[in-house]
Amino acid sequence: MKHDPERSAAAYLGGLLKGARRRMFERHMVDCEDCWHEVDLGRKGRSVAESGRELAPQALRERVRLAVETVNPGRRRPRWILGAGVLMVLFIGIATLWLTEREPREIDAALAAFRAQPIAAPAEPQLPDRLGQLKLVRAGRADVEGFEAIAHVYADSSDDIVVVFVADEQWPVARGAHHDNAGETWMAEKDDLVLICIDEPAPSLVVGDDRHDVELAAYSLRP
Amino acid sequence: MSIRKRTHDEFLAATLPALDLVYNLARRLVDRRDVEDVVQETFTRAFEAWSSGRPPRKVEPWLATICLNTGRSWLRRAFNRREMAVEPDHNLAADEDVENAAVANVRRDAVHGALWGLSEEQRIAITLMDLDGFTAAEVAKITGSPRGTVLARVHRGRKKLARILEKEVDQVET
Repeated sequence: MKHDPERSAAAYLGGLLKGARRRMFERHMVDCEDCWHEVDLGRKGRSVAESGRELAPQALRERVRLAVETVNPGRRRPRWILGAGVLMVLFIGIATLWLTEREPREIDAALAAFRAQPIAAPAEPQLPDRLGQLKLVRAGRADVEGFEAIAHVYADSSDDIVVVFVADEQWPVARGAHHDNAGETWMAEKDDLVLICIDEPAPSLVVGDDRHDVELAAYSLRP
Repeated sequence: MSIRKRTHDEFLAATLPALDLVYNLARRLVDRRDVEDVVQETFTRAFEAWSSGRPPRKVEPWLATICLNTGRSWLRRAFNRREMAVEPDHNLAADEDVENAAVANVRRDAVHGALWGLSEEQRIAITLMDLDGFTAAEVAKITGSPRGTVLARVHRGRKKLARILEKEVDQVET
């Protein structure tokens, strides 16, 4: 190995040489002027450096103590709390999105009622016997998820059915509904059914599987 | 005792004994006007980490690392403000008029000046090893340098210090 007095002295003074290697270098140093000189200078330099050690002023000790005592502990939260916070925000975001994107239950119930046509008890019709070519077949109370409505069942000449649910309060807007220019009515399509909602003369939801019949009924209802 | 108070007390009890160590390192990092600010910032940063559930296994190297980072940030800010000051102070402590203390101060100031004559890497390595008492392996970890590099920096720095002081002695004698 190449003789490098500076490197050897640095390793020796730095405590890197142990046991036999240390003793070997010490024996070598006795005969090697360069290594001896390197170690000697290194020791002197270390002694000089050590003499520069200072004590911190007492006032600084008090200053540090006061500064630390004004810092609120745990100001920076552990990472797991941060992670939990992110998860919570994500959860709330997804839940909000899910809830806002969900079909209003009154609309779902009205669609189910159309399919099953469960008219609990006959009721006095609130709509005319005919809406264009559509003829009123029967009318009765329908419980649409706690939303009291009178269901008017109309049929055309082919016995295609259109049901007009008339309620006392405004119907919620179906998901994905398109509003007319005035914003007074909206129309939506759900699977094979067409829905049109009008607010005047009474809050009415027209449901049917024949688009033409549904539009005809809605048009006839409007004042 | 409140949890808040207990946290402060535990931190101060564990770290204040290392104040001299941090102070000596800060003294060789930044201008003397900024030393106490850097020391204070080191301890407040350390406390924030400590109270966030990240106490160290060994306090001294941890504080030295924080001090080194704080001092370097300080230097970068000073450099950006073009207020880089690396001028060592040779002033005697005004409140010490005892002859021996004055002599000791002269010697310490001379050493301090000599240390500032070294490169930053050599100065930091020597401060950590010879003034703060860290091993070469610890200094390597604190500074992020290989152990061989640390030893070379320390040894070359020591040689320069020895020569600077030898010259001063020669000048006094002649």
